[in-house]
Amino acid sequence: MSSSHEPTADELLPLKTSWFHILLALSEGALHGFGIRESVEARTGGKVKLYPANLYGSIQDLTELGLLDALSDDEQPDDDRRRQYYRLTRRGREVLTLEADRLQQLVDAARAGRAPAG
Amino acid sequence: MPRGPVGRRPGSLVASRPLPVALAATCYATAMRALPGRFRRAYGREMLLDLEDRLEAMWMRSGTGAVVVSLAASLADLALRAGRERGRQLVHFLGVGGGPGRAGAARLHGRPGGASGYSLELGERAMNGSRSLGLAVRSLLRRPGFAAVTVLTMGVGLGSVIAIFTVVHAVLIQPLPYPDSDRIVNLEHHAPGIDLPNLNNSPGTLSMYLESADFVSALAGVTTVQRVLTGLDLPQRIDVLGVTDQFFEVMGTVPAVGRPLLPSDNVDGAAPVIVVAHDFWTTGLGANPDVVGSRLELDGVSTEIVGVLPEAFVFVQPGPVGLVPYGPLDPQNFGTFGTNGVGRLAEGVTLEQARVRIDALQARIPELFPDIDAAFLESAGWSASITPLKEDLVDDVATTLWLVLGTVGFVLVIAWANVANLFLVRAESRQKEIAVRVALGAGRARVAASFLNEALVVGVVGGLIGALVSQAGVGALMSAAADSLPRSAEVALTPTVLAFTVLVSLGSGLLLGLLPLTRFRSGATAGVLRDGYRGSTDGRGRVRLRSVLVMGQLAMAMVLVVGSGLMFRSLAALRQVDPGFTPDGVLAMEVSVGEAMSIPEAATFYAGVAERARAMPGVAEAAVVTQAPLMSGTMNGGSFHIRSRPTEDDELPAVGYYRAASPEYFRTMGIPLLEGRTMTSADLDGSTRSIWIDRSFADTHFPSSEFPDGAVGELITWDGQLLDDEPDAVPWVEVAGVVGDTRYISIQEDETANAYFPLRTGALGYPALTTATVVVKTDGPGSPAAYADELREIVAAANGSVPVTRIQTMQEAMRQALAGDSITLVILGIAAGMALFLGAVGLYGVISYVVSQRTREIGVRMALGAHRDQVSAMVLRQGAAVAAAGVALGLLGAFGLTRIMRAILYESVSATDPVTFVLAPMLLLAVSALAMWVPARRAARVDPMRSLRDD
Repeated sequence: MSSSHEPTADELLPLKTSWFHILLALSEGALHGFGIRESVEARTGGKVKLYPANLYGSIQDLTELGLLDALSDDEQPDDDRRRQYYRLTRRGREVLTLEADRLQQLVDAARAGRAPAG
Repeated sequence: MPRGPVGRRPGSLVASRPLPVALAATCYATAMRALPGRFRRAYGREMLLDLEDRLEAMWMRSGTGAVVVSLAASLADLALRAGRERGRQLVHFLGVGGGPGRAGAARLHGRPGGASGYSLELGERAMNGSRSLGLAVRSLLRRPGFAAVTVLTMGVGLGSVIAIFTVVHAVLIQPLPYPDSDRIVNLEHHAPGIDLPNLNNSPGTLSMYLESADFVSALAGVTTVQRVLTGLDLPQRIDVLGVTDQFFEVMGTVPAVGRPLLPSDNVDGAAPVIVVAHDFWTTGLGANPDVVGSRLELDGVSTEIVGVLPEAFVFVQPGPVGLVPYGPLDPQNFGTFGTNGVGRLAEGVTLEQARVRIDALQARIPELFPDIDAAFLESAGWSASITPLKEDLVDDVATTLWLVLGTVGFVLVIAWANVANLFLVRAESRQKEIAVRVALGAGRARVAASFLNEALVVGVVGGLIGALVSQAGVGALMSAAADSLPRSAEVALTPTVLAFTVLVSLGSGLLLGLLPLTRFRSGATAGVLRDGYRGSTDGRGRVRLRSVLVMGQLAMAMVLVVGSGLMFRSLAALRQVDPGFTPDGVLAMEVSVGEAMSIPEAATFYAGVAERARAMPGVAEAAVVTQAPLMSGTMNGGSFHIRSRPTEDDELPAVGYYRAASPEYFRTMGIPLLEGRTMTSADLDGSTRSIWIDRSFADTHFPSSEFPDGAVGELITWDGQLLDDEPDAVPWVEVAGVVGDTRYISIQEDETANAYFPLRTGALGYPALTTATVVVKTDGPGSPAAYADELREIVAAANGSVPVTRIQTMQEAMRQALAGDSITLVILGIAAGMALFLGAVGLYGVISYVVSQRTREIGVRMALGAHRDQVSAMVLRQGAAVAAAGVALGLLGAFGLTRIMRAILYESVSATDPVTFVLAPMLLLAVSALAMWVPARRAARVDPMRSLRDD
């Protein structure tokens, strides 16, 4: 049963907050773990903290789900060879878009609900 | 290699990192061993690098404290992830074991989000497993040594946590036992500018609030009053609460029988009445159903019992046996503080709003009390505060109690780690048995369940033993500390405590059972059968896990050793404090004549008792004082005036305290006369109008800059009100001598200004003599306590209705004054000792195991010419790394925790006391060395020939 091996993009929603932010950080280009953390903490004003074990654990989980992959040695940028870079896969981008749409619908619903009262 | 980011080797101690960061990184690197090897190989290097960068940035921005906090958060994060990864391994193991054709592992890796399916399967398996609970008990009983050690270790660990939790829950967590008790508040005042940082209420402030405070729906003044109860068996002194009208509304209670106290009871000339406590009604009055309307003799006054409080009503401070009317409040009496003010917040008023409104009311004081002007209030730093009653009650002990709970929590974790280590060893020794069972077709789930069941049995039996241990512990604690602990009457085994017990016991058992399971991998069992266990890579994994456990144990032991070391230093410093008197051979007897005698009558009575005591053989001296050091008693005082130096209008009056003493008092207590003349019997008739002051009094109020001739001869008075109206009528007293300082309130107190009136100066209207203490100095051998019975007989012979309320040697009083600190030290000391012992056993176990695993390798090395010392050193190095990491982590933790300790340490001991922080790691390393020495020697004695032959 291949479906149990590979959940469809839809089955992955809603995404965990930390996963969503990691995918979002990578949507702008390949980053290493440290770069992902800095990007996420900057974007959320430090509200979402990615401690090392959670960060790399999530990278592992997302890689196993086929949403990220690691850059090979040839593709790695030269500036920091000690660090492994990651990028979004096509599937990762698809899941990120679906999640963003889902969040957008929630935002719309919240605004619509508030409008008559306010 | 050039320096720079590329040249740095991640994962090692890099010299360019600041020390706290390097230490923290070492701890983290060691803790990372909790992660599965696969995960570590993939991400470990970068995780460590990230952590170091993050911590270094933290360190530069906010210092070492931030590093400790961030490390703690990172370790917690690591623990969560490690638990998850290990859980995956476990599910993997169980899933594959479920039967051929089930693709559990594949599903797991494919769907991290779909965990619910697995927990269901786990549940099923647990159901199957529970059938073999009996098997687990039998299996444990087959190895009684293992069973006894694990069960007892868990029992002691759980017991101490449950005991302290019982106390913490009753005192700190549980709401007070009154309806809507969080609305009950305590009103206080503060005047730090005149050295009175905490004042409760006076009749004036209470009247003011009753009149104008809209933030409380009810308000009452409460004061503890001592009365002598006669007419029952022996005369006895009892405590009652004097309360104003609205007390019952504030507390939300009504008498179970009879009526409450009414406003008409609180007026001048009202008939004396009392509402008795339920306890007193059952024990003191024989639960007489017709008690309402009957009478008690209090201080010789016939008092009508008008009601009985409900059984459920608990006094916040145990002791009182009833409630009596406070009497009318004099709205103009601003200055007589000493009454507690409790109120119930009005409907809809928050604590913050009440605080704002009470502040606003203080501005009206000058208009309500013409004697008090705004300038005085300002220079006194006057303010009012409102605190929830519970907070006010338990504030003093909260720090100590939480600290002790944390301490025993540490001991539980350490005990748990030791038992976990034993379980790992046992799991290893059963490897072959398990492999055979699996090969014969036993489901892996069943094998796993057998581990889990054994652990649960250990947890539950440990919990039962823990419950027994905790009952004994609570009993011991209460008998030692009940007096110094507020709400001690409410300490009991409640449903919450029981639930806590069950939860902690089962949780410990569950964790124990899961730990060895994470060590199994699907392929491992086949390997065991093929190779034999020895030498397989799995062994290293187990050593690693056990090393992490031992490192954690040593770190926690380190924190506890530092904590108890600090407490020991604090207590040692307190024992060095000179109390200002000689306690040896002194017996103190507190006697209460109550209000039944006039002051001259009372003075004559006490002096008579002292005179007869002096005539006893073996008694060198005897004296009377209204307040003996470190014992309860009457201390009077407040602002006083110096005749030769009138107080300026904008100046604050001086504050001093006085008591009355007979002439022999200073000699009896060994208090030296420093200046002036000694007190004689000629001073007793009041004709000399003399007073003696102590060194602090003289230094504070008669500084040599202003009084070059010293204090002797100066005239002072506490009757300031007469100064303006009738200056001629002011009862001035002359300072006749200066004596040494004595600590009256506590050993810790700073010197307060103390003064002594001659005992019989009753004519001056000064110290009340309702209660006094006869102090007796014995010169015979043996304890002065032997004279107690004879002293009681003297009092009984002098007047049969005067109770002896307490007899105590001054040595006992000194011990009791330090009892709270001593108990804390004993608890911390026992906890630290247990932690150290358990940590050492853990270290010994791991090193022994390593040696046994490497016997063949050691044999080869020795056959190839390695010296015995080299072999010992090799083994020691391995243990030393674990011990050093534990000590380093523990030191960081101890530094982080010193802030909590600061509140309970005597001022002369710093919370980062260098002696403690140097000696504690040395002690820990020494004990670790001892624990490693035995297995290291065993390694050095390996016979190469035998070790090679045996395998």
